[in-house]
Amino acid sequence: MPAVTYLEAIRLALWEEMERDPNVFCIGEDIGIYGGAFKVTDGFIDRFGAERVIDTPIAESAIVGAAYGASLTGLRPVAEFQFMDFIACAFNQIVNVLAKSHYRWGAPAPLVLRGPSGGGVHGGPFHSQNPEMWFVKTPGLKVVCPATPADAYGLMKSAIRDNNPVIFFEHKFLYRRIKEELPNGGGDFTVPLGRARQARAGRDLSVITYAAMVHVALEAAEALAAEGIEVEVLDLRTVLPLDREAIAETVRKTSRAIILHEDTLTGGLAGEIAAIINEEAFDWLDAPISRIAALDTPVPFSPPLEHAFLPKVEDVVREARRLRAW
Amino acid sequence: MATDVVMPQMGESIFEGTITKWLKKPGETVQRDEPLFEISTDKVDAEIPAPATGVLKEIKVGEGQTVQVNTVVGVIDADGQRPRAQATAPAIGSPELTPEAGSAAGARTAAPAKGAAGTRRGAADTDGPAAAPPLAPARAPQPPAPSSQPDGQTATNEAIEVKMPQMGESIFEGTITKWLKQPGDQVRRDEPLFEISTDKVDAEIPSPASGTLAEQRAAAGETVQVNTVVAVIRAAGAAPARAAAPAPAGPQSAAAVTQLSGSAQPSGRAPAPATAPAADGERIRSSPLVRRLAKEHGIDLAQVRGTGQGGRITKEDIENFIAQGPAQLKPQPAAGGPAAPVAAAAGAIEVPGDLVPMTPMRRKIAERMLESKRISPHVHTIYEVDLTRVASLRARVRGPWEQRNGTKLTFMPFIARAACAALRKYPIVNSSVEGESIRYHRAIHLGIAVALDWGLIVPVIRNAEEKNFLGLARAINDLGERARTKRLNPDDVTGGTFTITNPGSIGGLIGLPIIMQPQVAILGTGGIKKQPVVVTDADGADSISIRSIMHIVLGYDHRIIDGATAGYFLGFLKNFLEEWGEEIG
Amino acid sequence: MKKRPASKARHNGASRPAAGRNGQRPADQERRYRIPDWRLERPQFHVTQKRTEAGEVRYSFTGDLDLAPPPIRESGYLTREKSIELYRWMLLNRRMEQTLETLYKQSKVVGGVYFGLGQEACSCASALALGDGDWFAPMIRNQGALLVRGFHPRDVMMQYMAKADSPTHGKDGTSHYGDIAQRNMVSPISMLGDLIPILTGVALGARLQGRNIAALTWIGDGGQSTGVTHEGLNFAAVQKLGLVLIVENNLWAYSTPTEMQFAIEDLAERAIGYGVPGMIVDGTDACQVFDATLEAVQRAHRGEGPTLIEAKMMRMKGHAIHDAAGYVPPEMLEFWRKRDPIARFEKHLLGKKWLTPAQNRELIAEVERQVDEDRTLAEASPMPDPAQAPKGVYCDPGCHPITLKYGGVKPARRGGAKLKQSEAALHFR
Repeated sequence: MPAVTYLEAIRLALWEEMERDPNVFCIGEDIGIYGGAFKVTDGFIDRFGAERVIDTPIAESAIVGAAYGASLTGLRPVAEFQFMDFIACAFNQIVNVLAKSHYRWGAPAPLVLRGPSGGGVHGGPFHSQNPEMWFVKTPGLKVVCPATPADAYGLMKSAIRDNNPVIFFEHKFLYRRIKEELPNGGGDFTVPLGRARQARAGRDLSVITYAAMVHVALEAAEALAAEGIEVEVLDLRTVLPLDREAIAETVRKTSRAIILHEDTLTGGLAGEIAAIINEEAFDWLDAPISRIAALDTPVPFSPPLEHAFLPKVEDVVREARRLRAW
Repeated sequence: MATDVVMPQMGESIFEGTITKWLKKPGETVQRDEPLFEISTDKVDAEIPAPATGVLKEIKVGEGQTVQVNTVVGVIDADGQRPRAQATAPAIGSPELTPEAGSAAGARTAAPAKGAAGTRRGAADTDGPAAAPPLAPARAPQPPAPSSQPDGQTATNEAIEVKMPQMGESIFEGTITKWLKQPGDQVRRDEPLFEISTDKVDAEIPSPASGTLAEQRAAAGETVQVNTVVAVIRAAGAAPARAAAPAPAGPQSAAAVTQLSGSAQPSGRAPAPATAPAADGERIRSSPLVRRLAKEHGIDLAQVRGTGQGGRITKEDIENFIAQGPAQLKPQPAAGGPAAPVAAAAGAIEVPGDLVPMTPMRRKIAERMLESKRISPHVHTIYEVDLTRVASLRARVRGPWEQRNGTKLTFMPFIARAACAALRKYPIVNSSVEGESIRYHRAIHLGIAVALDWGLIVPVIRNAEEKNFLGLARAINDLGERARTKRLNPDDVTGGTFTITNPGSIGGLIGLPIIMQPQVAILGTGGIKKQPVVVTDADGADSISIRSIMHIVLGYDHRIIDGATAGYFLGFLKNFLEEWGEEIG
Repeated sequence: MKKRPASKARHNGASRPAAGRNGQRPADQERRYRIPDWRLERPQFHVTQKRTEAGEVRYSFTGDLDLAPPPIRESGYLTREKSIELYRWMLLNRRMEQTLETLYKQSKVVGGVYFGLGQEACSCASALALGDGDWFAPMIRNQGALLVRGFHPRDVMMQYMAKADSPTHGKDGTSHYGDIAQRNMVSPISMLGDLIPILTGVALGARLQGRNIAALTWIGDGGQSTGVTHEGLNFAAVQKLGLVLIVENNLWAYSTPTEMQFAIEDLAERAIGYGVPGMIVDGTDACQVFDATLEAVQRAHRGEGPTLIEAKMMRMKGHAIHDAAGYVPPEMLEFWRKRDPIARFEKHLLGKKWLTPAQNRELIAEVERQVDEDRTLAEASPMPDPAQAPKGVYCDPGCHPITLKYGGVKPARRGGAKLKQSEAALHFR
């Protein structure tokens, strides 16, 4: 099994699920003959036909609404957003219809909403956002943000097989930048929703993060190891529901925590995780909790501005040194 | 029975309403759904139908007065209710289309339908079939109010039921021994209302609400099932009774809860003697972690040198302080040896090999064991037990017993049962240390260590003292099975007061177990081996006999348990097993 | 080949005059579209804002007030038996809502109460036109449709009373419930228009499983202003899915008259913009509503796509029980009161001798008995256990099976294509 990119891993998972279960189908804009804005469904229409690879009008509410309606008849739709920034157009369907469906009237909504999010690609304010927190705030949804090809593959399979609405944030910066061999020799495997992963073990300090920032954290950890600071990196993978135990576990081990995310700071996930640490591991803390996140601004377009906006390796190194010496 | 009439909430943002007119006078009979009064609010005017059939006993809020929603404005006495002749509901014709929007319809069309016909000529009037005269809106189509409004329904609007509480899981009935209030008495919430006696406890039961005791439904001396309504309280201020009457928790059970939570504290929180503040009264800079470790080890932080910013005591500082040994610690009872070194000495030669991180369970075990060795000075006492009688009983009945009871018959329930009896006899062994006090646990929550392929876990049988032999056997097998299939709940592994571990099942003679904090003792059982033993008969003649022998060991916290106590405890246990005389179900 | 509507057939009967002769500037073309209007009267109204002498701004009303109410249009489909059933549902709808109002005033209802007074024909007749395998999703005033499709008055009452035995066990109120197992009903939400793409999706799900179904939902003259209404209907039109959309034009959206909601004459004209058939019926005439819905349902079953039906009527109460609707000019209510859908249908049945006065009496008494029995049951139901509040956020394994309503998708293999490396799409440099 050769190494696959993050994007190929997603394609593979989607393809295999459609082969495995004829009740899985894709719906979205330009996903058919064109193969999707990022070519995730390239070639799918040839294999599965226009019935199961459905091109739609430019109408995000209709895409989500129709996917939900189809899920009520027992199917498992996977709806694509060309960019996750556009998920705002379908906001009401997601937060008021999908998320509340099971709690209000016992109707499960087994569907996946997927698409590229994240910055670092000079996409500007409407093609770079990380809008996961709009949905983390909404009980009833599951929200996934994988960082590696293997996790993207395994989580996509779990998301499709789950009986709840799952929002699957693919990080477009990672799409073709990282590659790895999938475990299990190319055979089918899943990664459970709601479980974090230890991306690197260390004893001095924990960086709790997810998505593209996992790679920033790992790079920083490498640099810090040279200084004798052993950093543990916890990749959350699923941000709703959160793996509280893994968060408590790592902090109890290292007693110092940095929470890092590419989303903006205020109202970002870091605040929630800091609260969990406070509730679960206060007596193990040996330094204040530190948050590293993007600036509280829209995502700026020009490269120097975007660089200033995004969290960087040097931010993690600086904060780690500060906490280590505290 | 009295039914309150309340000011309705006519819209989400409406909080008060004005009574514009009462349509009935006190003493008049009213049917359910018959218009009773008219109101006016910010949003609408409306005619309010009566909630029940009966006699309007009292008007509490007069015309022109404005009150908050849900205020009681009148009372209907359903007891005075007499079956009334049919109301005049026309028997034919469709209900008329009532255009007046909302409840305004009520107030403005309060007059009987025919009288209002002039202003309310509808389709049915002008061109409807003659057979279909118009009907008054809303209320007219209602059939006469059924005289059989279920009693409980209206009662729940104001009456609070007092129930026989369940004073323990296995209690199904209780006897009222004394009423402390009589019907008509005022009672405050939580004020003792009556006394009960059950198999387990006698208790004074507090009132669930303030009000007037309206009714006693069970007399003193009467025995009733739990959750039976024994009294009714008419609430003061007529709080809506939807949240009525949870079974009140008796003082005994409340105390039990307190105590249980005390014993269920995670071991790390066991309070240690308070540390003195720094001599100069300045706040010592540290961290939550450092303060926790200091508490656990009885360390006065003033004695620890801080190397962090501004002299803050860091994790490393306190770990080094601890690692330097007991000399620096506050005086503690002599323990089995020096505290374990926290880490390998710096500069140790690196030996080649695979470095595999511990699993979370392994780390937890490591942490707990180390912690226990630090906290409790362990002493171990070993006894030999002749298990022949138990072994032959087991061999004899095992097949039919297992078939009958659907669970395995192992030696463990014999030992658990004997341990419970011994713990009852020597309660100090079923206790824990809290600061400078000893907490004697009322219940026995018996931990049973289960070896797993991936580690070790100690699920707990709650209230083991309440279980008979069969109950213990079932609980042991159930917990073991769930431990091995990873189906234990968090509650299953916390709150133990004493632990049994059975390393003998692997085959060893005996092992010296470490206490599970905050418990103070642990019982270990060794392997059972047939051995030649000198047996002395009743006449004093010795002979050599082949007997099934097992070693048992008690590991105990010498801070509070001395060797003699441990010896008595084990002797009792030994005797209980050797002379086994209990039914095993 | 995609399964898409290949031809751009004009469902509205649009016609195009021949082009001009060669060599000349072609004559201006004029397209014509047809919107059938089945009503037996076409009253004209106008509502405007005016300042009164007292200096207050109020709605003022002009229109044909003196028209005699029209008769019921003979149905091409309703048998005697079916007609009586329909009449009974309408009666049950109204009696149940009257009981709800009483329960509300007795403080036995939690929250507000919404009424469909004057709209019973539209709710009941349209729901009755559905087939067994068809789906629907009601709006707040379509409580009659719930009854027609198998819910009981007690379900509706318990839902308003927030009882443990209500369809949502107290988790939600009003008509916010559904049933995907038996009654094929999607739960509405409070936001307007979202049901339209959802019902479209239900029809899509059925079609993927090899079945053309009708999926009925309603939208008001106010709700049709939302963007999602457009998205949903357009998607249904493009995919030729069996959506049946009844636009209930009841003249008032809360307190806003239609004049301030849209600028076209009839909402049915919107159908032209979507390339789907549109038509107008009298929403107070049960026969017109039934026939129009039935024909739309039949089109859906034939796979011919969605239909838009505008039903014109009047909301005869406020937006909800708290709203006295003082802003509605009284003459307007007076006009519509003469067009009571139940009274007119009753007269129609009596006139045809399909119903005798004695039978009518019996039927009304029976409906009243049913409502009263259900009311007793509803009042006796307990309130939910607070321990239920945190439960049910997720569908956990073993909680609800995912059931394929129409047997699942039969995959049509296309070529032997294997997954290939996709070519990079470079959006940003």
